[in-house]
Amino acid sequence: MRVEPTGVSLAVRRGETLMAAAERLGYRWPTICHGQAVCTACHVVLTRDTEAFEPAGPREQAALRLFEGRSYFDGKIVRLACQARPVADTTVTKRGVRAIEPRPERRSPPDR
Amino acid sequence: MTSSKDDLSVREQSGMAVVPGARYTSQAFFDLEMDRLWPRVWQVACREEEVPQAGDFLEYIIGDQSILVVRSDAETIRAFFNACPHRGTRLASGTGSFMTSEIRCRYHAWRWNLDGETVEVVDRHDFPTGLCDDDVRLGEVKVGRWGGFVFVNMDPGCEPFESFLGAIPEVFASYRFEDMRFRSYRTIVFECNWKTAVDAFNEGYHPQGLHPQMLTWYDDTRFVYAQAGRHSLYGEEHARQEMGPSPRLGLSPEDYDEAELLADRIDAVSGLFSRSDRRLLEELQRNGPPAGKTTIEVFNEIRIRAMRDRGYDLTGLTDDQILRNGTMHIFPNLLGPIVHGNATLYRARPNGLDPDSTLLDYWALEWAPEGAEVPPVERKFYEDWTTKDWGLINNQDFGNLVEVTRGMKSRGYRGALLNPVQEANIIHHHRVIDQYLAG
Ligand code: FES
Ligand code: FES
Ligand SMILES: [Fe+2]
Repeated sequence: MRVEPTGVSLAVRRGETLMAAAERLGYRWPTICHGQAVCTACHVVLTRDTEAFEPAGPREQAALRLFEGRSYFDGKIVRLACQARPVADTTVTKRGVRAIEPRPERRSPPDR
Repeated sequence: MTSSKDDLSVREQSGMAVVPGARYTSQAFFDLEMDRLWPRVWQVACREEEVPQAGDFLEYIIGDQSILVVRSDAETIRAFFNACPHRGTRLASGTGSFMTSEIRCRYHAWRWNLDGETVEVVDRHDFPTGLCDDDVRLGEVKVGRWGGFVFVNMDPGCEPFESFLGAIPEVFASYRFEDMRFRSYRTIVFECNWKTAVDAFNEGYHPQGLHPQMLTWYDDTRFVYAQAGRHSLYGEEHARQEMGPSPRLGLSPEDYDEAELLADRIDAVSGLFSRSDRRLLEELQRNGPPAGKTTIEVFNEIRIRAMRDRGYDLTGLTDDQILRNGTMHIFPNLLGPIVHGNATLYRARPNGLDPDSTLLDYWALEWAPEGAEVPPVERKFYEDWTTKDWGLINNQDFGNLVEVTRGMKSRGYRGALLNPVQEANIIHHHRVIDQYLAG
């Protein structure tokens, strides 16, 4: 599974959502609701292969309705990465997917 | 279950204000408000344009109290307790106009002029000669006017209107509320306490919970909160100079798509733009900004031009003033987002004597273009808010009112743990209420 424009590639496990896979592999995925199909911030735009994912369930469908009337998404095929489970390899577009940088090691405060 | 007095006051806990749920849910607290707050506080009864002609009246209802607001002459607006001094009959209801410039009781036909002075007590000769006109004049309610709003106060010994308003006229002078007229007027019944409805619009702390969808294009972390006398306000200190999502998303500029942000920003204020503005916006979306300018700069220019084209007089305002937005809360129950040119105001009134029912007046006000004929106010009433689609954000706010109410009634609810910064205006609201209840 490839995520543009950064070109991140993810080995998604069977039955796993796209966002869960990314998080397991150490990437940060944009979210506000942390996977509850509410915030829509995790959305991906599919460029092709709409059948590369399991069909959206009722919760995802409800959230996807929030894209109606948002002119930017006119004619675009959108899925929620926190819900969508890939069944085949494909490429999606999502900005802001980045490897989580290892935290700088904490040093104890110097003695006075 | 009755609550002791202690249950009802705002308590301090670990340096924080904790607001007991009973202040919202208990009949005892509601009755206290009915007794000590509403009869003594200045409150907005209506707008001047609702009683434009001499003889026009409007019935203002708060709880179980009915007040008649009357236009006595071109300059004067008066208010009276809506009760006949004879046997108490309500003198008028709803809105309308008194024929022959007289108020006439339907029961025994006593009459008063538009100043509330007695015109006739029928068969006055039956009464002792000691009965004087003042004994039977209409009971007067005090009136204060600012910004086209008509305030009333039932307490003859109340604080002067000017001291109640305090700094408000100065702080909001540039918004010229007096030049605004109703674009729409809707009243909606909600199953919640009136304060729950006020709270819903009195902080910018909840978008990440209730309106998370807007955070992809809207920075919700920029509000500053301030109290002004009994009242409060919050808003942006400066207009946005860059387009960006909420920092809660943790994205850096290369992580988001300006085109998407711009499209959502345009959608959010789409009602403003004319066809020619739309062409300019499309061009901006297609080709990006011209060299030396940023997308938001061009967008803001188009926005300001659209406001001018709409007939808004923006003289004397800086671009920063024109573009930033804020929320005003006039104690106790009028508040909402305002920008130069228009205001969305919510007025929350107790519905009868039920602590769990609120009449929310939802007013859209707009600067009337100079010389334009303004159509009369059309009021719409919604017994059930779900019968209409109010737009995503309102739907989310409205749907939440009942959820707050239900949760607050839980025996396990320990009181509102308010955010000292972003919910400071809610804490302030409670403290000012307490001043009325105590005094
Ligand atoms: S993470 Fe919020 S909708 Fe997917
Ligand atoms: S997090 Fe604020 S009411 Fe629950
Ligand atoms: Fe809201």
